[in-house]
Amino acid sequence: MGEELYSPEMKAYFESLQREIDRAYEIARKARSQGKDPSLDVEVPQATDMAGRVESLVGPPGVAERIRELVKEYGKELAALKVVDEIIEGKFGDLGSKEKYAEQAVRTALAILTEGIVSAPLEGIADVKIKRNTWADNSEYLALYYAGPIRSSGGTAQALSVLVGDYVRKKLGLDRFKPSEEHIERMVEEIDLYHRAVTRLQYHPEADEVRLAMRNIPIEITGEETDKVEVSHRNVPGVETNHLRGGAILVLAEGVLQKAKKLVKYIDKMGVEGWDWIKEFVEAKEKGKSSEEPKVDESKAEDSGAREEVAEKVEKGFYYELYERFRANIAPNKKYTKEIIGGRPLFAEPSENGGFRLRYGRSRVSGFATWSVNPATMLILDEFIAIGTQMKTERPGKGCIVTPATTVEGPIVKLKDGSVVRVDDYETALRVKNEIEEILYVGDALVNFGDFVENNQTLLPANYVEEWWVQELVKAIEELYEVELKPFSDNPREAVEEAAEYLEVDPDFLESLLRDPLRVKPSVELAIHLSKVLDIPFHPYYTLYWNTLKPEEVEELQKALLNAQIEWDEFRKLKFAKRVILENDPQIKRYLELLGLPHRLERTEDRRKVIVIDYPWSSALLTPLGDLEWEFKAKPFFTVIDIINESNPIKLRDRGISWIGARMGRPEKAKERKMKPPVQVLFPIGLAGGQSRDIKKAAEEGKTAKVEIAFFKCPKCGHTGPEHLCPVCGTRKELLWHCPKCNVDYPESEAKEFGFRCPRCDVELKPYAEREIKPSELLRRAMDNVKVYGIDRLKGVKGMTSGYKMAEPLEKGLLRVKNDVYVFKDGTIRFDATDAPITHFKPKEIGVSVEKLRELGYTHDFEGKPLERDDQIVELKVQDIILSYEAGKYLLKVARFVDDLLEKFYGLPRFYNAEKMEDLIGHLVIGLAPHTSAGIIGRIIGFSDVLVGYAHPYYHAAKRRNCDGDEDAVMLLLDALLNFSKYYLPEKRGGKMDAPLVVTTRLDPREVDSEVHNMDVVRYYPLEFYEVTYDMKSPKEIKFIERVEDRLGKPEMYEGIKFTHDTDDIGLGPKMSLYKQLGDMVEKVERQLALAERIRAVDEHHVAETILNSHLIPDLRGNLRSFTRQEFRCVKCNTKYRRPPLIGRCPKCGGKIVLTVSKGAVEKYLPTAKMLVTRYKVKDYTRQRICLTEKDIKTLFETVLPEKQRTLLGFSADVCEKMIKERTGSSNGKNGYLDGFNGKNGKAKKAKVGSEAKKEKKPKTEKSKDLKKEVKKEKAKARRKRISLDEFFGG
Amino acid sequence: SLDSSLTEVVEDSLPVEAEPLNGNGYGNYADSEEYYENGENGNGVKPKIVYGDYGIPIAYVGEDVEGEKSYSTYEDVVIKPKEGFHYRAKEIPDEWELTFDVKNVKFEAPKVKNAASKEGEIIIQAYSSYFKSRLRKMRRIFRENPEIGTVIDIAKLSYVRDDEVTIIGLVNDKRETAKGYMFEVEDATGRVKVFLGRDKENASQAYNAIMPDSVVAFRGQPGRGIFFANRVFLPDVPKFRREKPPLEEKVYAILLSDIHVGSNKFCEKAFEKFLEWLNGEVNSRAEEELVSRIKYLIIGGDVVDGVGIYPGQYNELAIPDIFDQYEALANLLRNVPEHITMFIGPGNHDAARTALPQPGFYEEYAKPIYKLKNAVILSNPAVINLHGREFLIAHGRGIEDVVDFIPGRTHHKPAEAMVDLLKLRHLAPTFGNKVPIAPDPEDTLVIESVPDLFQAGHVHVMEYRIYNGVFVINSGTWQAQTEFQKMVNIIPTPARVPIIDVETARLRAVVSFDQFCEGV
Repeated sequence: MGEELYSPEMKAYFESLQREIDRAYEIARKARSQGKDPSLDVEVPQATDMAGRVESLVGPPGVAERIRELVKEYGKELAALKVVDEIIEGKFGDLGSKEKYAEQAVRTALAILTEGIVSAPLEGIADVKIKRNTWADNSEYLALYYAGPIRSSGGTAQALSVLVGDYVRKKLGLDRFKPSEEHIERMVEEIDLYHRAVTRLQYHPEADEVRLAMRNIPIEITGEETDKVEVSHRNVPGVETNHLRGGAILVLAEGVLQKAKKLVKYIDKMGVEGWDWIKEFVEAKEKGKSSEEPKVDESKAEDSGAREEVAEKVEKGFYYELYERFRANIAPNKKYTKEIIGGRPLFAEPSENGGFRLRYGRSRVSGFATWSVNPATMLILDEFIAIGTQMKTERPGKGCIVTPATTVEGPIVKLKDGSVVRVDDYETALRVKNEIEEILYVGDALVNFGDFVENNQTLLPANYVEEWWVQELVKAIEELYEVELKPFSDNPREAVEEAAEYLEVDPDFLESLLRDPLRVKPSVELAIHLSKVLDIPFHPYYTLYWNTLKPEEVEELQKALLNAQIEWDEFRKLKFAKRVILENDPQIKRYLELLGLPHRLERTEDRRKVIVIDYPWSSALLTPLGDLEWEFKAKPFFTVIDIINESNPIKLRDRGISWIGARMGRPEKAKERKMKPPVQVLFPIGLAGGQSRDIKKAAEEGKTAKVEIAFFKCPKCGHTGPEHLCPVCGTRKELLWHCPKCNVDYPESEAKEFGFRCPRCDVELKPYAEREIKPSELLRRAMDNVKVYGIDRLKGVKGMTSGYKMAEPLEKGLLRVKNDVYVFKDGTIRFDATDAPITHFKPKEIGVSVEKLRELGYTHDFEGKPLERDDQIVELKVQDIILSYEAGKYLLKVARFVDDLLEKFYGLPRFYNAEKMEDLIGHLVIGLAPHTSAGIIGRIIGFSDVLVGYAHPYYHAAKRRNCDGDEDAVMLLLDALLNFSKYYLPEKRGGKMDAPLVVTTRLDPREVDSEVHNMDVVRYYPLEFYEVTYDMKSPKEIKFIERVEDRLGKPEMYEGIKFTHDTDDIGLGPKMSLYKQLGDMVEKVERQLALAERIRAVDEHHVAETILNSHLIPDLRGNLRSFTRQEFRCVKCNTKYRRPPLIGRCPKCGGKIVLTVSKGAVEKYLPTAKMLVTRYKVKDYTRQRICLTEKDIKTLFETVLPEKQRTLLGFSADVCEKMIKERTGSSNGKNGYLDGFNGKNGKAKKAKVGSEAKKEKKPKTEKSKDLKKEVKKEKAKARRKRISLDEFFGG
Repeated sequence: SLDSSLTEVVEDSLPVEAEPLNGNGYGNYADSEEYYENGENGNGVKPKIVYGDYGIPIAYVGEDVEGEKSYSTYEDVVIKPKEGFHYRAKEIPDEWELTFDVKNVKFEAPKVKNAASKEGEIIIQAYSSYFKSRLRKMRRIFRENPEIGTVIDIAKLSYVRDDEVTIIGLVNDKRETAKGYMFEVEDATGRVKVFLGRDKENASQAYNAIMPDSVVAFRGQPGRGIFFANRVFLPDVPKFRREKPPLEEKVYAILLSDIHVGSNKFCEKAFEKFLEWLNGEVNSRAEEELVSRIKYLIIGGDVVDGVGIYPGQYNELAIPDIFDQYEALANLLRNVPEHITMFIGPGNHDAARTALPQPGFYEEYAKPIYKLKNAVILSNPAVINLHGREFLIAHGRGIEDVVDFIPGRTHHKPAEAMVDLLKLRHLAPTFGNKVPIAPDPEDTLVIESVPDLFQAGHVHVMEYRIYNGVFVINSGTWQAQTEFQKMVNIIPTPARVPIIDVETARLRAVVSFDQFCEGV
């Protein structure tokens, strides 16, 4: 199977990786075999494929081979069941009890179904039990106990685990679970309670759905408690907890019920019987949907029927009709704007003109839930977006991260001096950044087709762009001259010359235009010429946002232009405007701004201000208007472009139909992982090290520490202590097992004989005991061992949470301190970064020489030319990664630590010998994501100055991540092999998550998260695609864009992936989001709103209101409530008390008692909230909530912290006092000033708005009166809001 | 814990690290935001869990506040007394007094070491003195019980041998063991484990009735590190009450609560009918007699629905404006005949301090009701003396905790829960559960003197019973079942008017207006 899967190059690549892996393992084995660690072996087994991972993760031993065979024969799902059969038939050995068989079968099957990566099969299933229907017929049934980490397996696998459970049940001959009403109602309550009190479920089933599922699912879905929330259906027989069972809830709601439809497919495929109910359920649901839908359709039909009647009489413009269909089919999706976090701005309201302009395509660093935008957009949006910053988006998916692409359009902005500038490059952006008055257009968002497929998002009509135009050009050339040319590639010179001759253009120019149409743009006169001779639409670069204006407005504009001063020029007898000078009428100027037309203001000699439109924009404006040779006349049911296309010889395509909204999500991240508080060695020190758990301090102070720790005894000389090797005679010591009752220790060999039970007390022996240690002695010895002295501190842990409580050798800690690195709970050193995709890179971008790259196997660029220069574009190999500089610096320290460890602790030669970051190139890492237990080998090939971890989308998918803001870790391979131990892992639930329990050595795209299979891999989307987007089809109907899925199982799945949009540099753009640089919440929110005020596509009042309602108020109210119900805590021993102990000190240790929720925490966001309700027009309701909350906080402390009375004399600027005065002030007579305000809630004002803004169809919400600046703003907004789709149709 | 999302302010504990920490700590690992992305709103901000009415947890997430509302504030509700209707009550002289009101309590600021003490320390001190004052007050109550015997401090138990002594303290913790019941009891001098055998008198009843932080007395012998109790005493109320001198004339008081003006489920029509009835629109001679002698009207909190009380409230408000809610309430209440004195106290929906005790309404928001000529504003709790009878008026949030801790208690039978509170002589014994408690240096929630009548509301179910001579009543509501109540299966009893005979402090009649309440 192997050979036909890889090209020779890929084969060589994988082999070279394997050689490096083997080298590292060999060194690690040597080191481990010395016996200085908990285990004599390396504890990270290798797996080449899913089967191997499954065996390593959950077993049983020997299953991998069978899985491989069965998968080949039956496919994955069926193989899972066959494995169940074989396990239960005892093919993998006698497991003892029926329960054990069941447990093994369920775990292994679930591991197969989740590719053996996530930790759900280990951690998500807490237990499998055989219980009795005691409340019914006392028959035996199977119960699956789910735990929180089941979440990591995803809904489908959760649902499948139930199916597998049922299969196991039948196989074991058990009866059904026969729930009583109590059981059923308990689950109904739990699901509802969970949704309300813990987390909103993605799918919140109706009570009857839950009842149906509970009655029919033949096994019990139960679990351990996950949240301390009590239910009212308590003490249900067989249900062990009265708290929420999060795992079980998820499996039922988001698993079985949400994925019912998918489950049906599997039921058929796997042939599991007794699940007809779910088929009926799905059918009934579909029917319900369709019976609902026709209703909608009917009403729609009526609606459109009415329109059609009109349509019979009147003709509609093409775009008018398109907009109408658009509006009917795809509604703005407001979901992402429901929550706006303080300091994380809204960049565009849903589908709002001026927001992100949809551009279809995939850059070298996008796709797979990643958008590319022009770096200028990042700058102009105040650097709130940096490379890797997450955005929550309107569509196609819920979120993405952002990467740069210089070949898409940047923003169009209006500067303080009144000029309008198109900002398509970084330099311009830097220049104008501080001069911006308004962001008219935010810029392009490059979204790949694959993301539409993944999310099944109806295709939005494509905006007109260069990649579309060039294909129309090529097509026209072929039709007219029968010359075949190809865009985005080198064409035969003869063909180019022939076409150039026909077209009367420079062949060199045509050649480069075809090769790189995104960067190479014709001059405007050439564009006119091409449109004329080929009858193709005007080049998109010169096409303005005509449909942002209403026809009447263009009519006005045209009139103004008739009086303008225009300089004309000629090009091949084609007339074009060289310069236009207009009177500075604010209305006309606004139209130009909305068109996105660059222009400026100039003072004439008589000191009048005039609008100046320079070449080429003068022509971009006048060419579509026929150089004023025909009269633009508005007409009903026609958009501006429709009218232009009717009269003008040069046609236009709309460049601004589809807009997408987005807001900032989480900031990007690239940071070493530290525990809280930071730890340098997994060694318990209790309270002896003070609050910082400093072992050095404890040693200096000569303290002894009483800690729970594993001790080892030397079989030769009898030395005992926490070390694995005897410090006296160098023998590997034996673990001492301890009887907690009689306090006697037994060496492992003896303990084993007693079956790990105390021979005297018959109590189970424990591998650890509370023992006294002398930090000074231990530290001195460790220091001598590795010759590290003079450290500032050595941070240990308070206590170990692992099952064995084995301590790490202190030497490791000393060397970590020396190299300034920190350790994670499992002994490894991690660096976390936001995941970002990259499929192609240029050597110069990642700071690696061409020579080095050739050594690494990169011999050719992505077009097959030999790799010679550092600016050639090279396709990334699937397991290669590009680290952030920060990661490079940190891993360099880690490399030194590992070398020191090898040399000084294990007495082996240094391995990395890395002096500088570049020396790490070619070395291997393990990539590992939270919630998973399987790492994947990666190879460092370079560094970029960004705060993300760039790697192949496959690589991220292999970790089960996409790139919508996820983050995960890398660690140096040798560090993990030397230092990772299962003995360090916390014993609690979830402890095995995020630990490299197995590592995949060879990436197989078929065995990664299937989301990446939807990524498209073409050089450009064909003309056909752009055309069908106007039909608003489902992306699944588009078969002609190749995606990863189409290549699976062929060598091409590894190589020859293409992208549609290049970028100058993958590191161009802000490095760190402004969010991370701002100080307190007031500052964050101020900056956020300053940006909101600037962006045309954002309503700042809406933003202010949403921040209050979704972030600040919940926080304020929540903290206020918590304050008065809070726990109290001892500073010293951290014991928590429900109320302060009466004796005033900690009864346990005499420590001081402190609050867990301070007054400061309660008040934290109050100033921000007040600022918002003062400055912005929010609802009275919201303002009152803030003012009441403030009062609630004040009165809470009034008896203990009496405030000095503030004088209430005179005018107060405080918004609450002002409000109270307005509402209850002296003029409270019947006809006082307030009566108009009181209770009428804006009705009076609405009328005012209506009469004031004549053209406004939709009355705008009124503005807060109290702010002068708002008045100014209002004028601008009243105008800018004019062009919504609603108004467009005169609705 | 549920509050793990809280910002823990670590005063003088961990040294400040030079760098901010990643959210991947040992202890915090499982809760750290990155890993439970779905457990929050996807922004790294976890929703706060709060307890809504009935102590039902609700995630405090953002809400939509969309759309304008138009509404009436009942300016047009003007009801005049029926001509010729004879109000006997007008001729009876007023006889009332506010025996206890939180506003009149002078709190002593907590003693702290120096003036520059941190806020946190002062607050801790305040909470400490709050519980110490509880213990003091409860000891006073126990002193009246002759069975109690010699009370000694827990710290002095080690000096006692064999003698039977009594300890009085706050219960930190209780649990059931194979042989009996274990408690941890704390007084100002120390804490001790207490064992109460299953066979002891009233052991299991007492065990069930004891709520965390309530004060109880144990009589027994100290053993090695443990106190063996023979008897347990709740503060309780005396079994018998001395009878009070009869009144010359029958006088009635009406008990209301939870009117929820402003809610779209407020039974406005029923309330108007009730007002008309007060103004003489009666159906029978019997009713005429009742109305004629009504002299007092007591409202026990939640007079309006408030704003921002629970997530999503905006959608369920007819009047989404706090000023207008009180305006509307006042416009209704101005129709209560002038000779009837109204006592109005706050509840958790009101514009008032959220934590208990609630000194009153915020005057600036509730001005219209302060302006009503015949209204007296109460604190929550308050004690009114009417013609020599003590009426304890509380809103009743403590019922939530009773339902949580005492087996068999439900929101549907609030009077039972109120009796439990009476037995513990405290309106909200447990700290840190559902009832928010302010850091006052004195515990004003102790039921120091035994009332003749104990009124509460809050749970919207009218119910009453008599316990050891005390009339205990929950006065129901004027709000029909809300969506939320429907979801958690709470069936309110709106628009019922209990009329109390002041002389006996017993129920005289219940008049129902629920046929005018939609949804009932």
